Amino acid sequence: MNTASRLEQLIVGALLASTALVPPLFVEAFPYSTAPMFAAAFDEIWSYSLKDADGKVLSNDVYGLRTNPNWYLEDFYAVKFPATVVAPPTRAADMETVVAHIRETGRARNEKFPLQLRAICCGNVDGSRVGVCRRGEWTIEDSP
Amino acid sequence: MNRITRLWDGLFEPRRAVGYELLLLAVLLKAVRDAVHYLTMSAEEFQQIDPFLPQTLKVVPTGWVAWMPVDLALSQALQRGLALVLLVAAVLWLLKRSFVIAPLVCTICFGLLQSLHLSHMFNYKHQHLITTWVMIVFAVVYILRQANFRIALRERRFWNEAVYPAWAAVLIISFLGFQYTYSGIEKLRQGGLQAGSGVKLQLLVHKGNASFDQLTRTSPAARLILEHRWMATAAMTASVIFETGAVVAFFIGWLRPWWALGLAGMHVAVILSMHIPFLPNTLVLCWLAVPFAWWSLAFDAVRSRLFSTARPVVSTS
Repeated sequence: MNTASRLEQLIVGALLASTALVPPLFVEAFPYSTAPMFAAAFDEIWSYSLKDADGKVLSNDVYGLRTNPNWYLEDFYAVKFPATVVAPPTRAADMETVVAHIRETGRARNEKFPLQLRAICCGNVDGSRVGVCRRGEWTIEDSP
Repeated sequence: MNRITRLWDGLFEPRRAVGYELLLLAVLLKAVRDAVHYLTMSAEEFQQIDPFLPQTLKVVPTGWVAWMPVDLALSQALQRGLALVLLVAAVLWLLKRSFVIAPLVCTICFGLLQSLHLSHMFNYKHQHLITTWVMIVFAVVYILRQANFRIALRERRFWNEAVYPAWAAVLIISFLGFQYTYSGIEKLRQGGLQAGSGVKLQLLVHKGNASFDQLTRTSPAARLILEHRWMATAAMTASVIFETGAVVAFFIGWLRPWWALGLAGMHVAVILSMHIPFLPNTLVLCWLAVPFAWWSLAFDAVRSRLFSTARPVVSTS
């Protein structure tokens, strides 16, 4: 009753082999995967917030300020957002480039200048806990 | 040879249906729940998901729907159509009314719907992989063993005899084991010795619980990790060890339950501290943590208590 036919052996053998071989060959091939969340190592992480002159919060996705701890997985995401200019979020960005990019994007979108950009860095604070360890603030005028 | 057989803990023996059918029931109920969710989703709700946000640049369908035109992959009509077929197939499979068409159609529709779901979201989470794989394995079991299952059900032997082939568990264990092991290896490859860093775990929990510049600790589990570096380091290091060793540990009978419980504990900690719903993985790991023979023992005990005229157990293994 439980004897496997040759066809059954072939199918099961192929499925078994696929569990070992497909993930390293294709990285992401649903439902196989070798791309886990939270694999990247880091000891600090940056976040950004942008507001216009009226205090309205502007989208981090639109302005390239997205800080995703799984940034190395974004190539596999189906939904594509504008490239972030602050990646990876585990080190301080080149703020000159970031400010120039925000000014250019803000002009193109007719935002109310000056824009207020804030950055915070979270990391080790006292050897036991994490918290805000650095801050930065920039006022971005319409013209440099 | 005996020592090796003991090592597997009977993994390569045919098993009675009860343990497997409980897992299948959970997977099919998840399929029914998904189907109902997609069928009742309003057009407004559908429009609020990622690809329809004004800042989205483009969508490249992923998974089993990668071949589809974007417009088709983003259409609610397709989602509803698949959900309807999934619902019918899942119910027929649950009722054991179809042993080939229903498992096949149910698995294809479920995989397509999960892939559509992944195609609609940025920052997707790896929580649907094991459910889809388990359904694939059950569909293959039902299709290849359809004749045996039909006869066993007709003759009322389905719940008493070892009708499930040994490879059903082997395929589930192998998929789960390799998935965790490759995850552990990737963490070690990217992080080296820092893979077990407590600071990293604390930052992830912090990010999962905080608004832009406020530390908002919402759960006791998050608070424990955030306030004790040693605990965060221990949890992160244990996670990497449990993940990396999974494929070997799952195939060692005496170690499998403990290893599965360890990984389930990791997921429970993630659920409690970071609010990421890794429930399917946790469920399958808990299923794996129960030695196979216990399912039959529990089933017989419950049945003999409920029905004094229960049929005697016949084993063919």
